[in-house]
Amino acid sequence: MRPRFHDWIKEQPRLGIGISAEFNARPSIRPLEFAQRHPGLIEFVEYGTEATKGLDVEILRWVDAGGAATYHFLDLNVEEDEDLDAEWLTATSEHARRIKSPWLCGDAGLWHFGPRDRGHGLLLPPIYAPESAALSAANLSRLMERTELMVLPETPPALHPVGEMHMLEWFAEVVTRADTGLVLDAAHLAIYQRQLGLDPCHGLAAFPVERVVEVHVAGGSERHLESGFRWIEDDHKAHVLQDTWTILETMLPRANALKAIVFECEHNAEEDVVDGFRRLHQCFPRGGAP
Amino acid sequence: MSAVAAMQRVIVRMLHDPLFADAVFASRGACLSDLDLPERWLTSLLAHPRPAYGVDPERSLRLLGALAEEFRISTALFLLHVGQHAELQAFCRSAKFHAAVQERRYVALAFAEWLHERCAGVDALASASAILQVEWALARARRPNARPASATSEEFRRVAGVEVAVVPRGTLSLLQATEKYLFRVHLVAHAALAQGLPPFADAPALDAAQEEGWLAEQQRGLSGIPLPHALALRALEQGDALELHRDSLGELCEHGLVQRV
Repeated sequence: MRPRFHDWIKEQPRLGIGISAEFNARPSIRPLEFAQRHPGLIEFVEYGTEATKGLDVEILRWVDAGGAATYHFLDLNVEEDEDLDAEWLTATSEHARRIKSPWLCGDAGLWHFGPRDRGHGLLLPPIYAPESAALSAANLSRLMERTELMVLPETPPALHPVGEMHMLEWFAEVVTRADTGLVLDAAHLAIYQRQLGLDPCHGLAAFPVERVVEVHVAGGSERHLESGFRWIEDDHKAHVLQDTWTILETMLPRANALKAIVFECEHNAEEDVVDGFRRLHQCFPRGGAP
Repeated sequence: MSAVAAMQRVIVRMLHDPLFADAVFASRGACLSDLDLPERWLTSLLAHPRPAYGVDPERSLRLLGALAEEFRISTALFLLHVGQHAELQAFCRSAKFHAAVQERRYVALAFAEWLHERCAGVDALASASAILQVEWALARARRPNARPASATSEEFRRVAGVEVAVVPRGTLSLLQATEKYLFRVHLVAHAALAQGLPPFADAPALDAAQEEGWLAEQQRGLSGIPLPHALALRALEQGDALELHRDSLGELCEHGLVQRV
């Protein structure tokens, strides 16, 4: 029997400010070396991978040196119960436990089409509708029971979301039904709000921010086509858009379950991301409110 | 299939096939009527500007890149013959691609079926077709859940993850020669930008009158197999009479490639 979210969260460590990493993605900032050059700037690494790829040398170096880490899956379609096969569950649990991840997380949505396979390179949001919320909550509950880890769905990016619910409404429904927390990706939310012509913080006031365990912050670039179509590309550049900061700073005073903030920036030059990390430390300082 | 899954798969198809996305917009969703999607979702799908579905035009190229990596030699021989990458891109517009996505089947296996049909009956593509049989067997072996082992005889059963290809004699030599050519091309990858690829002039000929056998296994990959063994596996797979193959089947059982029922 897994613990209730509100009991579980009391036992979780404050991870602080972390950097993202992905299986064998190069060139990228090496966490150990970065931490040595900039003491105190990163406190953990969030490692993204697919179960079949597993762990790479850099994350193993980091955790074997005593570093904290979280496991971010890149290969689970949360709306599809067929995706929770025994092989995937076993491999994912083993990887997460090897790096001592206190929870599992990953964008809720579609990572692949057809059975899990190589080379799809997809990330679509779920259908923002009650039917999908019910399916996803049921699958998250099964995943938590099978892995005995809390699973935090993450708000994905979306340029063409489908469904009658707002993204935040959908996530509120899912995490309440599954009794879990979530990862609020502030950059993804900014993309979504901009695409729908909404204020960056639209819907946040009514959202259960007290279930946000982790926040992601990342850079994005404003792009446009010749047709005039405009969008924010989720390119993880060092420059974080103001909309993203606004979302983060608006939700923080109510985020009493927040344990971790990840700056998704590992593909940039080190000197370009230092200011972003410093600002995040000001937002989420050790030992209390800023 | 749930309505949620059906809707997601339509979006995937729109993202990989701009002509399909155009058709969805032009018909205001009427071309999807067989899927019985909720009207409220179709309204939401079409409320976005059409360009929102086209900001990543390389998406289908990435998929084709992954497929070409898996069906490396057959795709290379196909492209050498047709000469235009657009011919390969046609896969994402094909009924096989759309059906595989909508029915949650392996796209890689749908690609093999599509390429098989493209090569069929074209003499100049006989080489691509022969190699495809081998790569296709390996692709099936890697995905044993796509085709669970079923008993086709009362006595023997194919082991899941074991596949066989019976191909014209000379396929192995052709595969090796094409690998060698691709290695040379790889060394001068920039030649493609300047239309300066070295020709593939030394492809060995296939002997259609004779056959050779290949075994594809999920864990161990490809290996040669004595032709009688390959023919026995093929007979078992096709549900043919097994009398002529008893000795081979006995040996295959000893090697764990076939099970007694």
